[in-house]
Amino acid sequence: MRKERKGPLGKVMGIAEDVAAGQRRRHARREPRVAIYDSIGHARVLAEDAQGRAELLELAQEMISLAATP
Amino acid sequence: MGIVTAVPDSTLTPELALRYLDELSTDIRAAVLLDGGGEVAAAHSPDGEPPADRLGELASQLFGHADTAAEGAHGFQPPVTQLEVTIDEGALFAVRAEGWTIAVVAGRFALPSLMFYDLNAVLSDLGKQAA
Repeated sequence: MRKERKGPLGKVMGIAEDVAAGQRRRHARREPRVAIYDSIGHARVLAEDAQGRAELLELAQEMISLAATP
Repeated sequence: MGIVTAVPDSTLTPELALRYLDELSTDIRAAVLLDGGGEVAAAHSPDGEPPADRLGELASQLFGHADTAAEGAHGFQPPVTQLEVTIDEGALFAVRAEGWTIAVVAGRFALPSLMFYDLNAVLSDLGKQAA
């Protein structure tokens, strides 16, 4: 929870924080997401430098592009 | 005396399975189903014939790389049974179970939990068919 700041400066800071948080969310939404699941349903989102992630991303990009071709 | 009820042929072929899947989700743009040997059993796209061979070739490599990724993931219990990749242009979901591998391309806002539920249901039905 965000700590409330009093006064006009606090209000401006709050707005700036909200804008920055919105930008972070928008950026996160546009980041490629690669996730794997094990047999009991545990998910693992692969970090950018994870082994195999780049290859999975490349395969997916080609498959998605093939599906988009009329 | 017995009562015999005529039932429709319930044989679920790979082609029917993909058509059924397409009816379940409007998000699906293309789907490919591989058999236990990694060969394309069926491919489907609501917008026409997908390039089945190439899709199959790409799909067959997915879980190899996913298993490699799992080796480096602490606390993860291989094998990988499901995977998803989401990019701006769309999303890819794949499941392997019952000796089959299925991969579908969907819109990027498709819900993973629903997609995996449908894919697992289809593979489960195909598995029962084979049993």
